[in-house]
Amino acid sequence: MIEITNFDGTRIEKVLTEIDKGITIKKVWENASPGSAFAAQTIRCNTTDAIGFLIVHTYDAGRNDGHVDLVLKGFGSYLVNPQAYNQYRPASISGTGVVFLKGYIALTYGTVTSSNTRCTPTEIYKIQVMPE
Amino acid sequence: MDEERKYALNIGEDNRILSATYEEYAVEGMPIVDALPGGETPEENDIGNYKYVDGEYVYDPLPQPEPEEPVDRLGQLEADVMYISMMTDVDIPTLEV
Repeated sequence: MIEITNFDGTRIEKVLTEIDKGITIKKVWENASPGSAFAAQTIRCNTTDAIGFLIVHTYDAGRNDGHVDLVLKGFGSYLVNPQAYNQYRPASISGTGVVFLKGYIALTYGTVTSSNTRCTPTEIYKIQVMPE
Repeated sequence: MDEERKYALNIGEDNRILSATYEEYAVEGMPIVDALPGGETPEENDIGNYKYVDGEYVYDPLPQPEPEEPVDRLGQLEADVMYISMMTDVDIPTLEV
């Protein structure tokens, strides 16, 4: 099991060392209502044995244009979908699951508005180190 | 919606439905239901507009966001051009209108 406790530049090296041992990827969640808005929430799942999660998400709720972002345990991250406007949604891993904050639309010159339909997660895959 | 699969609800503290997944991905404490709420309008088909109370769906739509103020299209275009010129280090002559 990987444990990331230090917060200097060696964190990513520890992750990569674990990944080098071989990984498995397992689907742990699917959005059964992808056309609905997705408010800030935690998708509960076992995170103790995870390196991170792959998040499939869409530009807007109900759209079928999946993007994939990697959220590593111990690192704050964002789901990002740059199209006509940039969409993003902060995401991280807690002890109880994958934490999603609300989504945002950002214009190129800085205007940002929140929108819970943006970067809507549709599938979540857990990344684990292969058992020895 | 898949009629053969059951659903698991992620419920917020105020009983509002935050999201739904399928039963095979449920974790302890999630209500399992045969069908998700729905209706005829986009708002009625958004599960976030429902609460799940005592095993029943209660339609309780979230307030609609305030309509955005009219966009200054010329100002927006000017800002976009300035941004691109800054990022690409290209001199754009100023236009007097």
